[in-house]
Amino acid sequence: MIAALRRPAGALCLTYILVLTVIAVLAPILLPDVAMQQAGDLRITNAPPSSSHPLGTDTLGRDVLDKLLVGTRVTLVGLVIAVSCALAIGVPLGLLAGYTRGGVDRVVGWIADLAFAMPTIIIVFVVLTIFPHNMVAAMITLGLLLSPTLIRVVRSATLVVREELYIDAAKAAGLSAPYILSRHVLPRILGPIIVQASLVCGVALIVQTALAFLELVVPNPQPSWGGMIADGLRVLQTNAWLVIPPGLTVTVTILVFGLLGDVIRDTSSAAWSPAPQLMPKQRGDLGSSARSTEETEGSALLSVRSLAVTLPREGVPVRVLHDVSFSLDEGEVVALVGESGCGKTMTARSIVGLLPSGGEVTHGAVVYRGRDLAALSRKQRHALRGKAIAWVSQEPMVSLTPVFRVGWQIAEGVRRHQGTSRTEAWRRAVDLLGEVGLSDPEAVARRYPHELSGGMAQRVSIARALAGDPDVLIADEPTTALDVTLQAEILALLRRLQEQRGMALLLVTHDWGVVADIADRVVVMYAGEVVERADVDDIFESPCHPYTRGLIASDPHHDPDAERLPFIRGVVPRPEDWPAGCHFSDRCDFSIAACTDRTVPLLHLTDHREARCIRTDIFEEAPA
Amino acid sequence: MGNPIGIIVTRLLGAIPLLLAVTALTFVLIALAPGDVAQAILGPDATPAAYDELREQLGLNLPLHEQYWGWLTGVLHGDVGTSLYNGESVSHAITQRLPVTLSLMVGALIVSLVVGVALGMASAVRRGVFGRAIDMFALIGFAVPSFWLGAQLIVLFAVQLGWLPATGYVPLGLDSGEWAKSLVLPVAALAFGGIAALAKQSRDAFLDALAQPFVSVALANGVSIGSILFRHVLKVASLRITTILGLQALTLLGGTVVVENVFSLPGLGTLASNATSRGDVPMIQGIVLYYAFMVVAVNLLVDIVYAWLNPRVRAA
Amino acid sequence: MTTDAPILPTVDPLLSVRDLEVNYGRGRQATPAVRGVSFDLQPGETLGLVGESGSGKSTIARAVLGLTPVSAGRVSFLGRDLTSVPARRRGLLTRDLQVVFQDPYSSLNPTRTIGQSLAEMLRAGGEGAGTALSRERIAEMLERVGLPADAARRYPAAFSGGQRQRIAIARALMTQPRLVVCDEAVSALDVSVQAQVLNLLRELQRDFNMAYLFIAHDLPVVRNVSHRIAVIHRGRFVEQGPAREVYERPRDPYTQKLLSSVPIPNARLQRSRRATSPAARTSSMPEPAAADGAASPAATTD
Repeated sequence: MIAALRRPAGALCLTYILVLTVIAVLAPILLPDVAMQQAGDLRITNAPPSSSHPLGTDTLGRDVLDKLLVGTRVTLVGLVIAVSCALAIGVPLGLLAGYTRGGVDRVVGWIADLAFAMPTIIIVFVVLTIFPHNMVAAMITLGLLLSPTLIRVVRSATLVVREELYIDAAKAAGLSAPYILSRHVLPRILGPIIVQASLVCGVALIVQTALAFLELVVPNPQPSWGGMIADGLRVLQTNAWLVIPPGLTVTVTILVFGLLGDVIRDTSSAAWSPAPQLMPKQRGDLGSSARSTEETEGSALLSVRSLAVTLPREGVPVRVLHDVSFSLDEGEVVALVGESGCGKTMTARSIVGLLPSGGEVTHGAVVYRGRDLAALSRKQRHALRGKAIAWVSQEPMVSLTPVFRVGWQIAEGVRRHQGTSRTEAWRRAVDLLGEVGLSDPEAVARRYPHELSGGMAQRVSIARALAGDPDVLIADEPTTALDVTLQAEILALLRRLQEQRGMALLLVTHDWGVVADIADRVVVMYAGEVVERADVDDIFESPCHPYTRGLIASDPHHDPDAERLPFIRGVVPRPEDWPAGCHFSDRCDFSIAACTDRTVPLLHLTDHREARCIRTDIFEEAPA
Repeated sequence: MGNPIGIIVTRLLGAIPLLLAVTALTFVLIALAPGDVAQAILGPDATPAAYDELREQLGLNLPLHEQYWGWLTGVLHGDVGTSLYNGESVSHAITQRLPVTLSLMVGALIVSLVVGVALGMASAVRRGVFGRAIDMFALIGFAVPSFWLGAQLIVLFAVQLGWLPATGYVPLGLDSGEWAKSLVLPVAALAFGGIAALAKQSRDAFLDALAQPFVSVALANGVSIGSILFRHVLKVASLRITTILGLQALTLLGGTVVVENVFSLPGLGTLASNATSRGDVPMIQGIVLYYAFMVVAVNLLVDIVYAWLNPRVRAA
Repeated sequence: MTTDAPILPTVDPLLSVRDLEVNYGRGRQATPAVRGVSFDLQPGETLGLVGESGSGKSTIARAVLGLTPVSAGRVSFLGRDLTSVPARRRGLLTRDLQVVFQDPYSSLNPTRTIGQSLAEMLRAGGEGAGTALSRERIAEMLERVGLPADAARRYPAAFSGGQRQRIAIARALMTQPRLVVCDEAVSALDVSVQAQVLNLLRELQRDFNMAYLFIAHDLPVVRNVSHRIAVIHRGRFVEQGPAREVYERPRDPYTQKLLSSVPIPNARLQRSRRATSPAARTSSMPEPAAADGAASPAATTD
């Protein structure tokens, strides 16, 4: 609420509602005659707006503005009745159902379903048949019938919050249910409640004016917004103006409630994750400006050259990758290692040209078989995906489309990349499922993703990536979501496929065990930069960069009995907070003034060895 | 219940309590009312003798549950009662007017579905200004009351331009061209809010589907963009759109009541509001029953389509 | 099951679990998540519980904490049977039994300041919250886990994952508990941060003489902090014993498979192990569907 007030739109909406409330209270007191006024000045009926009658007069010469002001009360009273009713029932029941679940939830759910399926307006009609012109009864009924939407919103919000671990922690600490509900649950779900309440306000307003329009709730001659529209409609052919003032008032008021709901929702939703842009923009200048770095492997299958990428953070582009260079030869396994937030996945995504929304390559190039990928058209670049470079993602269960059979999804790739017939593509899909080690490929092909276990789903994802017979497979943390025994199987599978097909593999991982198991060469990343490149044996036996050393040493695998594990102090800085010069300087035990003076380049040490550090000499004596 | 028939049967069985509850509730409400039907018919000046006679004739002296049971058995035999106002058979009055309401509702539903979903998908893919425009449009669609919009449409297209009739209805059997013309403005007035709501909600559904990892993985593996949008994303989003469509159909059904009054269409809505202002209890009871049936039918359709689209439900 | 204990316990165990059974669902749909698990935990000791997802290890934690109903068996803490006491009437017992969860992002309420989150632990323990004494205690505790004292005024959003986990630890320690259940407490952290938190946990144990029930899927991590290790597979303990023994000389075939599946973070060693280990070699062959959980597409219970 408070955050919403800070926005101009939110403040405007609340001001409007406040003004309306004041009018509702004061207008009937200040204009006591209007409520029962049968007719006004009959000499000036249907008058257009003028200085004495700012909104004109109606068919009986009554002032339209006066009627509008006085009619506010009955409209708002109806609204308040309906909304309070809906809130009084919806919030407690929703909380109770969501928090206790079980039997209470089922009963509340059943009642809500029942009320939800009632023809709302007709039930209100029934009530009005029995209690003619009784608006209070009608609006209470409406509130009751609208409460299920609140019950549902509150219940599902509560269900989400009750799964949060801090609720478990509070329960385990012996805090009482009322305390947990009032201090932990309610504040968290206030946003959705207010949003829904403002929607209910809008609906109640529509129904109230509709009932007044049908002349079912407000007896003549008492003015009401809906009734004024009805009056206007009767003389529409001769005076089209009369419906305008009440109609606009109703519209604007509903608009205000809707807008307020939107503003509150926007300000109270903490994490809105943007969808990936389907066609990311690429700057045209990067091919030409690409600085040819120390990269000597001109013959490399795939090379990333001095890549820099920015992502928007609160509208401002922030550099998340800086001077990233490495290459991949045919049939080689390269591991891209680093902790979360170091830019390894961003690097992999830049290779296939799929940066998150707003991401931009600002410098450098990705070269595949001598071709600069940025120089290609979108269409040409897309044609390479899956055929030249394929992708396996971290979460196997969600990387397949849930509504299609997995065989169909693989066959789709086969058809696209190899242009075969449908039957041939299906046969090939089944072959691929066999190739990734699934024992009954025919049956698996006919399954839907939700019918697979995690390990099977990852095998299926790999099979799908193989559909285009790619030269390069990029696997982004392919085993992170899996148990360790499954991880061993998937790594063995990747190794076998890579050997049999002579395919190059770029493996993104944070796990040094995975690196040791599968990689030929290693690229270590820290805070958006490549800090070290080496062959896999060397990286473990004599890491050159202090970060690599610290990271490998902190793995508890090395010394299970250690009373105190070696660690790197501090945390990985966010891209906004990268220190000047060496990005690792603020966490490094060997940092000297020169480290922060200027950008440290990737320095060539020996064959196949580079490190972004000016102090590698201190490690030459002591092996890790 | 792995097949559509199973789902239909379960749903229909589940609908029985709803129909019973709605009609029973109506009975209880009527019993609670001050005064009763007999008094309403005879007026305040009737003699006690005439009043008691009429009560007995109408079965009002029986206990409530027996009255309800009597009504229920009547309904099962096709007798929904007779109007207090003009003695017309309730079921006859309703079935005569049902086509008007159904044409209006189905027409508005189709228009909102086609236009709304197309707008929603386009704005989800294009985003930016288009997306914000859809947000604004959705708000306006929610805010403009259909009866007021109807009035404006009459002013513009009937009074000023004279292209379409202002009010009234021509049955389909009489003249299909005139039938269509008489429905254009009411359908437009009713569908406006539906288009806006569907555009916004289907945009959200598409954005959600687009944000899911399977989209970027499919892209990264070179699945064609057409297939990703029109097969993968559309089918995943259609699950949510189906649910939204069901809710929208019910909203439109409620909206017909007011729109029929604006355009003087002889549908269930005008029948209902007239019955309400006349205190015609048997008529309103019958109308409640028919509306409840329509709600059940809409929900059933939604469930069938959903099950057909979603392999998880199909397999369950 | 407790025959592996090397020395006969000389003091009464802090926590004693006997023949614990937990089922999910009711009636015919009930699926066992934990089947006949027994163990003891002495004061100041760490018992590591290792297993894969769905093995039931987190269910044991939840049963001990009273967050899930126990179907059969006994959980005694400080000599009192917890299974017969509903969570809300555990009263003072909860002061001595606290928890640190896995996910640092969901284990702190984003709408409450760190100070409020810590203070309510005192409230639950029956002590006054909001007093000068409690504020002092909060500042002290935050400092102890390596955070600035002014952290109490800030909201969780201002902290990184590793810092939040320190806050969660501080919260658990507010009442000076005798036993802290660590449910995958370091699993979500990056390696360098994980080492910091593991060191912190060990220091705190030395200072306060707490016992840990340390639940994790990562064997080397469990080995590092635990005195004893129990390996759980499909709801049962397959092996239980001193950490070094289980880690270096696993007897049960499942434990052996688990250990050999963890790759050694050293390329040469890993290569030579792969060349000799039958487990690693066979796993590169097409596997039977059952080994991959094909038979259980149902949701895991862990």
